[in-house]
Amino acid sequence: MPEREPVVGIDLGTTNSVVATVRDGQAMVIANRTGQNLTPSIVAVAKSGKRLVGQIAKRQAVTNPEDTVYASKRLIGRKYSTERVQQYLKTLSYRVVPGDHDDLRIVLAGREVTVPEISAAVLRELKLDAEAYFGRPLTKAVITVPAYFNDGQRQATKDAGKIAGLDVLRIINEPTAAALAYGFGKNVSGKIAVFDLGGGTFDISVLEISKGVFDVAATGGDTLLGGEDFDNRVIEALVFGFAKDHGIDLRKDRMALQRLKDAAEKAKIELSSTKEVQINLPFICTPPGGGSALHLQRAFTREKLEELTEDLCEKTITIADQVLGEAKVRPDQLREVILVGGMTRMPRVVEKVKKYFRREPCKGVHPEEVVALGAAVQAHALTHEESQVLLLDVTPQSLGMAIAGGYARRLIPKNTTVPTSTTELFTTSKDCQTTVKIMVLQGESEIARENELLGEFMLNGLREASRGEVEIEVTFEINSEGIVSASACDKETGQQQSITVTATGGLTPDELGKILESQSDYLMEDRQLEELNSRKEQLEATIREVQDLLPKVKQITGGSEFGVDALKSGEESLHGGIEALKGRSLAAIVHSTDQLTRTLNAFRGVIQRVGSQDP
Amino acid sequence: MTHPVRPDSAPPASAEDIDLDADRQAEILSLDRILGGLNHFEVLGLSPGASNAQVKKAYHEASRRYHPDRYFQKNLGSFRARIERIFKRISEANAVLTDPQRRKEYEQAHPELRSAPAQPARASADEARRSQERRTRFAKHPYLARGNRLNELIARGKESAKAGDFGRAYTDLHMASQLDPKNHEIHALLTEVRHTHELQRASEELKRGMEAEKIGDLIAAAKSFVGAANMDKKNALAASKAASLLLKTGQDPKEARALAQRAVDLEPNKADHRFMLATVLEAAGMTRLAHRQFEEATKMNPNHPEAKKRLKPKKSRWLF
Repeated sequence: MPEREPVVGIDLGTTNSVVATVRDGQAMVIANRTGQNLTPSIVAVAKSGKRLVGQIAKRQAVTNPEDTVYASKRLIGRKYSTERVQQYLKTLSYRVVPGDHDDLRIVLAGREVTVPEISAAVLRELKLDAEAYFGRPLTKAVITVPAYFNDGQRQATKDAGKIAGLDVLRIINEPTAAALAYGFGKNVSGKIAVFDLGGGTFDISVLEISKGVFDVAATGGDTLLGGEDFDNRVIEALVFGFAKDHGIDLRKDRMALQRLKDAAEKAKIELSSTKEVQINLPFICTPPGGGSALHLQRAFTREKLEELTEDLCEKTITIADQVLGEAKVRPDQLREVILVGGMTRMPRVVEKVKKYFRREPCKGVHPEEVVALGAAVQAHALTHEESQVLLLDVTPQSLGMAIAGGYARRLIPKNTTVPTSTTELFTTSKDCQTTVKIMVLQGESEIARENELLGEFMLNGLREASRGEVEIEVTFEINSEGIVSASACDKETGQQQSITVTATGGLTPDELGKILESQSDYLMEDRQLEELNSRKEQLEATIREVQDLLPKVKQITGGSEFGVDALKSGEESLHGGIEALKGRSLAAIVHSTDQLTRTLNAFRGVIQRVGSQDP
Repeated sequence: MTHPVRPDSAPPASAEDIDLDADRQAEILSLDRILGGLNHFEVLGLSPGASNAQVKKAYHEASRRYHPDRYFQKNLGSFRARIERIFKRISEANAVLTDPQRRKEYEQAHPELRSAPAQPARASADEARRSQERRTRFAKHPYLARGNRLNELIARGKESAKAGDFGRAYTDLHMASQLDPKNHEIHALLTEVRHTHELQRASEELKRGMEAEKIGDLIAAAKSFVGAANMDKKNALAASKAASLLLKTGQDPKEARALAQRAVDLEPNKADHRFMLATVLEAAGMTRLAHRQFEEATKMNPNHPEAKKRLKPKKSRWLF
C-alpha cells in the first residue's frame, strides 16, 4: 500500500501562523525552515523587489513600514466602508484602498493586492515548510478561523488556501480546534470551555466531549478584540505622552508608527513577566522646524497597562458569560477551562478568567500551538476512517432573511449543529405582489440592515392575489462543508429559485480565477524571481561581451556594406537588452538575450573572417 | 474500496456503486424511509422520559454512525443526501430534547410521550418497595439498565413481527441496535425483519402499481413498480413491469434495461420477460441484442402476440 498523502492543520493567525500534522497517533508542530514553530504572519516586499514572508519580513518591518503587511487577518473578508474597518485602518502603517465591490486592497510595492493573496503568501510559506518536512508535495489542509468569523471571512480564507495551492478540506473554528487538541488521544469526557484571546480576535466556546465526540454547545466572540488592541492602547499612551511633551503627532510618520508598534508589543509581552519596562526609541523623529532629533524614553508599568486595557479584559468576560448562558452551563459545571492565544499569558487576563470560572485554568496546552495541533487532528480524522474523533460543530451566527418592514426573520439560530436545514412558510405582504426578494442575512440583529448580507435572489411570477394569500416556502441550509444555500418555492405553482452563497466581502469567482490563472502574478513571484535573476545575469554577461566587441567590429568593418546593417541592428539589440535589464519582464529579458546572442555570433564571425584575412 | 460482489443474486438495479457496503446501504435506506414517522425519542433509540444525559449519549452514539464527516470525501451517490437527512433528524431530536423549554413544548404537544409507560400494579406494598429497589439498582448500573431496555425492545420487536406489524418491529429493533450496535442477534433479527417488511411492502407496491396502471396513471405506476422491484429483488414480475412502465413513460432507459435484464435472469424461461428485454434493448438502439432476445422469446412461445407482430415475413432479399 502506498504511503498516504500527508495532511496538515494550519492555524493562520493574526500575528503568527503554525502548521501541524498527526504522526504515529501524535499531533505535532512542524517547525519552519529556520527551526521555529511560529511563523510571523507578515508579508513584505523589500526595496530590492524581493518578497519576504515570516520572520525575515518581520525583521525588516521597521525600515520598510509601508511595504510590510501585518495583521492582514483583521481585514480578510471585510467591507471597506464599515465603520470598524475605517477605524482600524487608521492604525496601520501600510496603505489600504477600496476594491471594486467594497472589498479591501492593500497597496504593496505600488500594486494593489487583495487580502486573500496576502494570506496565501503566508500559507504558501507554511506549505513549503511542511513539504520540506515530509519530503514530498502537500496539498490537503484544514485551516482554522476565529469561531466568530462570518461566512464572507470564511470564504475569503478558503480562497487564500486555493491561491496557495492547497485543497482546503475544511475550515474549522479555532476554539474547537483547541478543544480537539486538548482531548485528542485522552479519554476525557465532560464539558469544557475554551477561552481564546489571540492577536486579533477573541473567541469562547463551550464543548461537551464524550469518547472522541466533540460536541460544541455554544460559541461566541468578537473578531476585532485581541492583542493588537492591547498594543494600540499602549501606542496611544505613548503617542499622547509624546504629543504633550513635544507637540508632535507621531502617528503621521509611518516609520515612527511601526517602531512604536514594535516597542508596544514588546513592552506588553515583557510586562507579563516583569512589573516595569523601559521603552526607549531614540531618534524617533526630527522636529518640523529643524533642530536636533527627538527621542522617546519612558517607563511603563504593568499597572499602567492593566489600567489602559481594563475594559478589553472586562469585555472578554462579558462575552464568556453570555456564551455560557447560551450553552446552559454554569461555570462550576465545567470540567476545565483551556486558555488559548498569546494574550492569555497576560496575568490580568488569567486573573479575570480565574475569578469568573472559579478555578485554575488548564495549563497542559501550549497557547500558541494548540490550535494548529487541533486542526491537524481534524484533518487526520477526516481522512482516516479509523479515527475515533468526530467534531459536531455549530454555526456561530444566526441565519435569517429580510422581511417586510426592514426586519430580519431568523431561520437557523446560532449554535445550531451543522449540517442543518429549516423550512418556513412566508406570504406576500402587498396586494398583487408578483415578486419576492429573498435576502440571506447573517447576524443577530432584528433589523435587517444591521446584519451581514450573504446573498439575495428573486422569485418571480407569483399569482396575483391579495396580500397574505400566496404562500412561499423558504428553505435555508448549511451543509456539512459549511456552505450556505437558500431556496424559495411558490407552493401553488411549484416554481422554485435558489442560490448557493459564495463570498461577498472577499473575491468574486472571476477575481479568484484570474489570480489562480495568472502565473505572472505578483504573489507567485518567489519561484520566478530566481529564474528572473539568473536570466538577468546571463543577459548582463551577453551585453558586456557585445559591448567589448563593438568597437573592434566598428573598426574592422568601417564603411563596408556589412557595417551599415549589422552594426545598426546590433546596436539596437544592445539598447533593447539594456532596457530589458531595467525591467522585470522575463519574456523581454529572454528575447533580448536571444537577439544579443545572435549579434554576438555575427560579430565573432566577422572578427574571425577579418582576422584570418589579415594576419 | 469496491462494492462487494454478491454472486447469489442479480445486481440490484438501483444499488449504487459507492463506498458503502450493501448492509449499510440497506440500513440507511430503511431508516431514511421510516424517518418521518419516528418521534424524537424513537429516532435516538430512547423511550419517552429519557433523561438529558441519556439523550446526549444516544445522540453522540448515533452521530458516530450518521454524521457526514464519517464519510468524508467518499463516493456516496444519493446516500450522501440520505445520511445528511438522518443526521439532521437526530440532531434536531437532540436539540429539542436537551433544551428544557423546547422539550416542555414538545411534550405538551405530544402528551403520550411525557413519561415512560406505566408499570403494572404490584400485589403488595412490600413487593413494590423491593421492585423499586431493584429498579434503582438497575438504573445505577448502566450496563444492566441497558440490558433490560434491550431485552424489552427485542421482545416487543419479535412480538410485532409475529403479529405481522413489521414497521413497528423494525422501529423497535432499530432502537435496540442503536443501544447495542455490536449485538449479532439483534443484527440478524433486524436484517430478517427488514427483509420481510420489504417483501410485504413490495407486494403492496406491486398491487398499487397494477391499479395505477389500470386507471392510466403511468407515472405513479412506474414509481410503484420500481419501488416494488427495489424492495423485492427476487420478484421478476415487479422488475419486468417496472421496466415496461419506465419505457412507456420515457424515464431512465438504463434502469429499465437493468430491470428487464433482471426479470430475464430470474425467470429465464418466460417469454414475456424476454420480449420486454427485447423491446427495451430495441428502444435503446441495441438492435442486434434486441433481435437475439426476440428470437429466443419466439422460440419459447411462437404464439405470443408480440412474436407474431415481429415475425412478419421477411422482405425478399433478391436483388434481381
